[in-house]
Amino acid sequence: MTKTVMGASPEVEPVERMLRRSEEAPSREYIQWENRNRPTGLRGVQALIGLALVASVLSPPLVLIALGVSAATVALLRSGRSRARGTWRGLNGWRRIRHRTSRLRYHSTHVTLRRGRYLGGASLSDAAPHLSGRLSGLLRALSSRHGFALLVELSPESAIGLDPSALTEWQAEHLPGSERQLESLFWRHGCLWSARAVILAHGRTEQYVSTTLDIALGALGDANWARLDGRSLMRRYCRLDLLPESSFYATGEELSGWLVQLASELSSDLGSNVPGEFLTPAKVEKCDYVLGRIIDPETLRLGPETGLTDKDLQGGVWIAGGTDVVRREVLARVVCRLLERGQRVVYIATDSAAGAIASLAREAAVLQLGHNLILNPVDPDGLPANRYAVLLLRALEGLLERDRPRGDLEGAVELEMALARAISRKDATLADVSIDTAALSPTDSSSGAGPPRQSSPSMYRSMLGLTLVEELYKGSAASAFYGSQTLSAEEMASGDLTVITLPLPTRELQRFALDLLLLKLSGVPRDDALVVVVENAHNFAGRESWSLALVDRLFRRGPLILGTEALSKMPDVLRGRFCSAGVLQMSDSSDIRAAADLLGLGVIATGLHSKSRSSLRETSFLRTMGQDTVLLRSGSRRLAVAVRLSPAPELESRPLSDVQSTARQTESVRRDDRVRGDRSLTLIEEVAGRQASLAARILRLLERYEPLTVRALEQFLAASEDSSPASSASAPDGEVDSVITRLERASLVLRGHEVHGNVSYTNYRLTMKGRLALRQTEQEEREGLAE
Amino acid sequence: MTVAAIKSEVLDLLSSASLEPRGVQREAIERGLLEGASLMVCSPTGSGKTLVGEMAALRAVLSGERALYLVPLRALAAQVSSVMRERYQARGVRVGVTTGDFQTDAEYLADAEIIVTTFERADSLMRRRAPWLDEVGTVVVDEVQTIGERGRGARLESVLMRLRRLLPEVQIVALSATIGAPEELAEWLGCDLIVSEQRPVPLHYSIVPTRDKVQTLRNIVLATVRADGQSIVFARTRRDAESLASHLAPEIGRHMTSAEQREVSSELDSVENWYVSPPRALRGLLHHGVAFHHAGLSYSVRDLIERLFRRGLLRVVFATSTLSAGVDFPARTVIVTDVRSPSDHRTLISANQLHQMLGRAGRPGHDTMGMGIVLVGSKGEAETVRDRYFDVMEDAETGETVLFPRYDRVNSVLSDPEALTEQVLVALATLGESSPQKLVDEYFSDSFLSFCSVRDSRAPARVLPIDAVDARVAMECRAFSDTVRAASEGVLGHATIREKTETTIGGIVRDWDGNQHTCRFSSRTDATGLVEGPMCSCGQPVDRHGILCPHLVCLGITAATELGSLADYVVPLSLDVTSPVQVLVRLGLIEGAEGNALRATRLGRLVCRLYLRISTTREMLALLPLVDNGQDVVSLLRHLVSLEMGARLPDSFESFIAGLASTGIPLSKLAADAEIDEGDALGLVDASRWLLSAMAAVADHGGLDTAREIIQSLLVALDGRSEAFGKTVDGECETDGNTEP
Repeated sequence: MTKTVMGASPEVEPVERMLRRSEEAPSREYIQWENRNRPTGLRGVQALIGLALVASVLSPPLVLIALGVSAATVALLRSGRSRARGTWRGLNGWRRIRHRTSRLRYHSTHVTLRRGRYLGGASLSDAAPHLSGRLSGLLRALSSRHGFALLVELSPESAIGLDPSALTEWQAEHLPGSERQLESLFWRHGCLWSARAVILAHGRTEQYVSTTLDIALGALGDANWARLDGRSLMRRYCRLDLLPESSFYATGEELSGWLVQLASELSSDLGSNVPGEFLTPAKVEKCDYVLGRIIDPETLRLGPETGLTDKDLQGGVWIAGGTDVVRREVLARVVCRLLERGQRVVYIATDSAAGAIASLAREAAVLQLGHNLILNPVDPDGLPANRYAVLLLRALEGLLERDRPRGDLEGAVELEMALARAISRKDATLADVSIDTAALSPTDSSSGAGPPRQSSPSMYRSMLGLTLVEELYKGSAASAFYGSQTLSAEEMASGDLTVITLPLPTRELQRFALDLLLLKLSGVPRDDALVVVVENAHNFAGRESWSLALVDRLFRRGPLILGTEALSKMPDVLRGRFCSAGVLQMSDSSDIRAAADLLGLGVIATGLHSKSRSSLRETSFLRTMGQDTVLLRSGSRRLAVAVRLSPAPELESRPLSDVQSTARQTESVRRDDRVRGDRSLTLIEEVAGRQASLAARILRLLERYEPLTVRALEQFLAASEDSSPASSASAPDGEVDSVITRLERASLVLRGHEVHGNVSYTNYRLTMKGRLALRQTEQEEREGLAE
Repeated sequence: MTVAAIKSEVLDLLSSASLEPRGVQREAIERGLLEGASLMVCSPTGSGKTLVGEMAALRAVLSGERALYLVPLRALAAQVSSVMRERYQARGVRVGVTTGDFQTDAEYLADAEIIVTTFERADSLMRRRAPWLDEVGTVVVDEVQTIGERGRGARLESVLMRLRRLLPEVQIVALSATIGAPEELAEWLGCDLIVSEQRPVPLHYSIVPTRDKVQTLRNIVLATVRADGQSIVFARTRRDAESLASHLAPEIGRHMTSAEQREVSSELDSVENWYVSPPRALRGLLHHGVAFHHAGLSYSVRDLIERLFRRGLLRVVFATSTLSAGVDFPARTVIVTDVRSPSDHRTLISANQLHQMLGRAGRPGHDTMGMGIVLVGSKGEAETVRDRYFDVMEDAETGETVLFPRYDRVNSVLSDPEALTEQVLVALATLGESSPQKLVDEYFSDSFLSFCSVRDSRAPARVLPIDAVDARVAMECRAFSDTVRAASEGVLGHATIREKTETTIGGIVRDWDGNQHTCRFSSRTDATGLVEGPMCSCGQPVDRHGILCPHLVCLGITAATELGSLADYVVPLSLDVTSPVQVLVRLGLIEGAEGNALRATRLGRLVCRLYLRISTTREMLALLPLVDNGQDVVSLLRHLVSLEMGARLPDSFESFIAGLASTGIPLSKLAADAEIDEGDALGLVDASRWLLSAMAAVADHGGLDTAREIIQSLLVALDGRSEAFGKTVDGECETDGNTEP
C-alpha cells in the first residue's frame, strides 16, 4: 500500500472497482401514474367561503373566523399546485419505476449481451491506399441473419497543427515544411480529413460473431484493421460511443476513391449487383509460366499459382486493357518467366521507355528505330521478293490517315511494279522506288496539287502511294526508313532478349513501322523458342484482312503475344484467332464487351453466396479490379479466372545497343567457299559460269574504252561469239547475250546513258567491283602461267 | 582601197542589189562596220541582221581579204550563199560554200572570197589548218547565241577562241537573236554591241491553258485562217507535226478556194519543181493548204513549202524546231504546242529557243500584229511557263497584264564533259605540249566559259576540271566555293551516311537549324533509262545553273572524307563530271611528255583532224579490230553514224548503204525502201562517207589492213554514187531533236 498526501492509496482504484466483469449498465427510470384522478382541494375552499358568508350574516364574529379560514385555504391551494407541477415527491398518484438493463459481460474478443447476444468489432487504425473492391466480397460473404455495422466518421482537418507523428519518414522529408504550404498541398488533394472506422458484428452465438469478423477482416485484408478487445468494446457500448479513439488521416482524393467504390457497392440494389464472381477451377493445371495466384471468389483469398502454358503461346495470347505502363509491367512479368525458361524474346513497343524491359536479361539488345536501327522497307529480308512487294504495298496503306479521302492503294499496279523493281535490286533503298512518269507533264507535277486526276485510277493510286514512299524517306521518318538496314530480322531475333522501340512522331508512322517489323519477323524461320511480344498492337485496329494475314504469318513463325489497350478496336476475327487472353482493368464499355466476349464471361444463374442474377456481373469487375489483378483465360480452360499477379520485376532504363552494321554494305570481292577442282572460283567465274572468258574480255574492253554503248557491246559480243573457241555450236543461243545482264546483276558493270544530238544511248562502264574482279582474274592467270 | 572608198563601194554593191541599209544596218555602219570594227548585233528575227553580215563580208573582200561567214545550219548556209551569189556574183564577188566533207581540206575554196560554212565545218577546216585561213579578214558569225547550245556550242566557242588566237586582228561580226545579257557575249568577243528590240510587227503573247490541246489548236488556227491569216504550229516531234497536220487539214482545206488549189497543183507541177518529190502524205496535205516541215524532208521539199507559204498558198505549217532558226518564215499566228525538250521530256526548252519560235509571229506588210501563243495543259503549267519565259507587267492605261519575253543568258557549254574532253585534245593538238594547269591558265582562260565564270556570281568553284577528278573536285564543279569551304569546315551541318553502294551514296543531312534532309548521289539509271543523278528532299537538288544545294554539298564532302575511293567513284559519275585527261590517256589519244606536260599522240592528232567526237572515237577504237567483213563494216558504220548525227538509224540503214554501194538503184528508191526520209538520206550518205574515211584512216594507223581494205572499197563505191547524184551540200541531216522514224 502506497501512501499519499491524502492518505494511503487504495489497493484497487476505486474507479476500476467500478468496472467489474459484471457491470450494470445505467438504468433507465420512469414515472408511472397510479391514480389519474385529480385532487379535490379547490371545492372544499369554495364550500368554506360560502359557509363563511352565511355565518357573517348571522354572526359577524363568525365572519372573522371565515376570513381566517379563507386565507388558510389560499395558502393550501398554492402548495397543492406546486406539487402538481412535477415534484413527485410527495404527490400522490405517481410512482417511480426503475427499468434495469441486461448485464454485459466482456471477453477477450467479444462482449456478451443479455439473452444470448454477442457483439464483436474491429477498428481501423490506419488506412492503406486501397480500400476499394474488397467490400463486395465482404458483403457477399455476410449472412443477412446477423447484424453487421460499418461505422465511418470523417471530419475535416487543418494541415496547421497536423500531428507530425502521422507522417511517414518519407513524407516528413519531402512534404513542405511550412504549414501554409502544407495546407495548400492538401487542399489540392481534396483537403485533409480525419477518419475513423469500425465494424461491428452481432449474432446469436459467439461463433457467428467470430466468423463474421473473420470474413470481414479477410475480405478487407487491410493489415490495419484490428479486433477490438472485449473490455474496450464494452466500455464504448456503454457510452454509446462505438467509434475508435484513434483516427487516421486521409486526403480527399483517397476518400473519394474509397467512397466512390463504397457507394457503388452499397447501392440500393446491392443484392443483385454483386460483381466479380468467378468460378474457381476444381483443378489447376500446371503452367509453364507462372504469373500469379488465382483469387478464390469464396474467400477472396489467394489460391494456387497459375499462368500461361507453351500451348497458350503457340495459340497466341492477348494482353488487353490497362494503361501502357500497367500492361508493360504485366508483360515484364511474362517476359521474365519466358527468359527463366530459356525462351528468347523479341519485345516490340512504340514507347522508348519500354527499353527498360531490357534490364530483365543480362545481355539484352536495345534497338531504337531511327537511332541505332534502320528498317529498309525495300529489303525483303529473307521473304520471297515477289510476295514481299504485295505485302509491302498493303503495309504502306497503313500510312494513309483514316480520314484521308483519297482512298487506298488497291490496284496500284505501277506502284507494285516499282516496288518489285526496287526490291529485286540489290542494295536498294526507298529512293530507288520510282514510277515512269514520262506521260505526265513535268509542269503538272510541279504545281504541287497532288497526283493528276486525269490519269487512270491505277496510276492515280500509284502516284498516291509514291507520295507516301517519298514521305518515308524524305520526311521526318527518314532517319528510320532511309538507308541500308542495320540488322536483318534474323539477327534481331538471335539474342536472348531484344527490345525494339519505335518512337515515331505520328500514329500512322508507328502503324507502318509495326507492320513492317512484324512482316520482316514473319520471315524468320520457325522457332518455337522465340516469342514475339508486341506491347501495343494498334497497327491492327480496323484492318481486318491485313491483320489476319500478318498474324497468320507470325503464327507460322512461332509464339506470339499481342498487347492492346483498346480491345474493341481489334477486328473480331483477329480477337477470335487467339486462344488465350489476359485482361486488365478496363473502363470503356465497348472494350469491356469485347473482353467479355473474349474471356467468355457468362451469366451465373445461381450463385453460391448470392441471389440469382439476371445479367452479366463479372464484367463490372473489369472496371474495378486492381492493377495487379488480371482476368486470365487459358486455352485449356473455358472460363476465365481472376489472378493476383506476382510482384512486377524492377525495370531500369538501359542505353541503346551499339549495333555494328553487318553484311549490309558494299561487298568487296570475296572468295566463295565452293571449290572447282583444286582452287576456288573467281568472282567472274561465279557470275558468268562457262562464259567466264567472254565476260573477262568484256570487262577488259570496258576497262579500256568505257563507257561503251550497248550497241558496241552487242557487236563485240556478236563478233566474239563467232571467234571465241568457248562458244561452240553446243552453246545455247542467247547465253552469250545474257553475259552482260549477269555482269550487271552482279554489279560488275554499271548501266548508264549518254546523249548525242538529243538522243539518249544506254552505255555500260566498269564498276569498282568489276575492276577488282578483273584484277583477281588476271592474278589467277598470272599464277597459272607461273605454274 | 581607202576606208572611205571601201565604204562607198559596199554601199554601191548594195544599191546594185536594190538594197538600202536601214535600222540596225544603218546603225552598224555608223558604228564602224565598214571601217573594220567588230560588232555584235542583237535584234529580233526579220530586223535585217543578215545584211549586216553581208556588208562586213563585202568590206573584207574589197579590202583584199577573205570573209568567213559562219551559220548554224546547212540549209542556212545554202540560203545565204545562194542569196549572196545572186546579189554579188555578177559584180565579181566569188562566193563559196562548204558544209559537209569533213574529210577534205576544201581545196576548192581556195578561190572563194566569201566562204559560207557551218560552225562544224569551220572547226574542221581549222583543225586541218586550211591554208587560206590566214587570209581571212572578217568572220561573220550568224546566230552566235548557238554558243550556248549543248552539243554544238562548245565547238563554236572553240572556233572563235582559235580564230582570235590565229588572227588577232580579225574583224568579228556576230549576229544574234534577242538574248539575255548580250553585253557579256559582246565583251568576250571584243565587239561593240548594237541592240534593237524593234520588231517590224508588234507581237502579243498569250498562254492558253486547255485540257484538249488539239481542239484549242483547231479553234485558233481556223480563226486565223478565216481572218485571212497564216499560222505556224510548232510541235515537239516530227510525228506530232505530221499527225496534227493530217488531223486538221480537212477543216482548213475548206477555206481554200478552188483557184488556190489549182495554183498549188500548178506550182507542184512546174518545171522548177520537177525534181522535187514531196512524200505522198505531204502532197495530199498541200492541196488543203497545210504542210508539215521538219528535217526529215529534203531541202528542196522544205524550200518548196517555204515558197508556197510566202505566196500565201499554204495557210498552216506544222513544224519542228528546224524552222525556228534562220529561215525567214513569218506568220500572223505562231502556236507552240509543247514546251518540253524533244530529247528529254523532263526538261523544258530554253527561253531563247521559245522566243525564237514565237518571234516569227507577224508578217511585215501583211499583219498589223502578230500572235504568239503557248498551249499548256493546266493552270499549273501555265504558271510555270509564265514564270519561266515571261515577265508580267500591268499596262497602266488599260490595266491589262501584258507578257514580255524574258530571255536566257547565253552560257558557255564548254564544261560539258564530252565537249571539254574533245577541246582538251584540240588544245594539245594545237599547242603541241602543255601541262593541265597551263592549259587552264593560258589556253582556256580565253574561253567564254572562263570569261563568264569570272563575272558570274553563280559560277561554281571549279569550272574546268581537266586533270584527275575525285569526289571533292566533282563537288567543286557543281557548287560555290563558299559552300564547299563551309562544308569542309563542318559549318553547313552534319551528314550521316545511310547508303553506300557501288552506285549510290545517300545520307541524311541535318543542318544547324535542325532541319533534316535526305540526300543522295546515284549513278543508277531510272525507269526511263536516264541516270538518276543527285537528289535531295529539299526539292531543288540542282538549280537551273547546275549548282547543287548545300545539303548535297555537305553529303558529298562528308562522303569524300569518310568513304574515300567509293565516293571518288560514285559522286563524279552521278554528277557527270569526268576527267578529260584520264579519258584521253585511256583511249591513247594523249600521252605524258616531259615534266608535267601532256601531248597528243599520233592517233590523237589524227582523231582531231578527222573531226570525230570522243564518243565516236571510243566506239570506233573498241570495235574496229573486230571488223572482218563488209557486214561488220556496215554495221559499225551504222553505229558510228547514229552517234555522230544524234539520230536513231533503223536497221534498214545497212541495207540502204549496201544497196547504194553495190547497185545502181536510185537514192530515192533505196531511201523509200529503207523507210528513210529523203531529207535524211542525203545527209546520211555524206556522213557515211566522212566516217568511212575516218575509219580507214584509223585502221591504217592501227595496222588493221583487212579492215582498211574493206572500208576503202566501200568508200570508193559510195564516192562514185555521190558523184552521180551530186554533192550534197544543201543542208540535209541537221537534227531537230526529232529522231523518231
